[in-house]
Amino acid sequence: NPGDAAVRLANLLEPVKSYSADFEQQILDDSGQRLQKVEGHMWLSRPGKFYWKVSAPYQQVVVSDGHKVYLYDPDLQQVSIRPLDKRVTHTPALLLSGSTDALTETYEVTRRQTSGLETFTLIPTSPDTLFESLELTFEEGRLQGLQMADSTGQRTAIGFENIELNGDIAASRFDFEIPEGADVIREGG
Amino acid sequence: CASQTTSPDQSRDRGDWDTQTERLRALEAWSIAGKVGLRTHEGAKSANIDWQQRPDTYRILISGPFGAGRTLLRGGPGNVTLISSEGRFEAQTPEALMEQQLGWSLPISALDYWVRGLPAPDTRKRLEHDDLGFPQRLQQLGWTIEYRDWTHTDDLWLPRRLVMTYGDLRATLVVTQWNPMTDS
Repeated sequence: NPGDAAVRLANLLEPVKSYSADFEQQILDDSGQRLQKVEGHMWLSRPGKFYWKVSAPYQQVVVSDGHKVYLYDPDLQQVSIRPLDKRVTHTPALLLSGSTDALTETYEVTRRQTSGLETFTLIPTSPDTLFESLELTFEEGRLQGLQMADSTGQRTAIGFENIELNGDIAASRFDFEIPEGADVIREGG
Repeated sequence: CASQTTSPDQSRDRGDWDTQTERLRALEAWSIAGKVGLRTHEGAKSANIDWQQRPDTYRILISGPFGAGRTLLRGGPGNVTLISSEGRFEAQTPEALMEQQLGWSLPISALDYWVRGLPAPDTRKRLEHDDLGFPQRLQQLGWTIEYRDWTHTDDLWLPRRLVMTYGDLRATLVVTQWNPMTDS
């Protein structure tokens, strides 16, 4: 029954205390044409902490210390700070670092297996979400890809490589220090 | 798309600009990736911009990290469509749509030229050059555009950082990837 898929997904995510990988993120329009491609590295530590570092074609950093999210743009010398949106349906990165039981309450989860890949499709149960469906793909039990489709048919597809599971990541990784001379913008509370 | 060779450490020389102006004007297909930073008295915001220009169509994606809050502008001759999570909207000009949906806008039709270092055609302008003959400050349509940095790609000098002011709005456009699809 559908509950099994959610349980299976929770079992895959639960043992992940930390996760580090190179990523490639593409945004595709409704006909599948690429609108944007960025690459970088992501560190994740449960619960609620992530460090998303875009290195090409530009530099950009998003850091969550579990309470606040810092977006630092070195080209613009701008740091915007906003409270971490706890709604799992709004911050997919949080989904990976959030608690797994939040998963089952917030999504309808279905699962399919194709050769070595196990893919979970998550449909948010509440309409107030940024995406209509979210797909998580696992290879040999390791998260390997994430894909979000929104109401306009556009998709954000993220692929992970050089994945390190439960490696030790210094706690300081997720403490963001505001660089000298950066323009600080506080948003939303 | 065309492979592009960027040579950051090369320095600009006097006269480089004049020799390439014709090629820049002829450039009808290009793409850029970068950031827009906006500051008004109300506050500041920033967005990533991915602009793909073709002879008579363009696609401009304005997005945050993870592609959050993205807005796509699709322009064709005489009409433009804006697609966002709010829905799909049509209008004659991109500026009207952006103001309506984003609460801010940039003069897209003129920016098509400004981002190449060229003044928009058929409109009064005041253009000052730096001591190497490169555009330094352009005043047009009520905007003041300052060219702060340049990048050398596919044998063309192209603007890398533009600071554009209009009244109390200050927009910084940083182009971190310039891709001039010169057919030459």
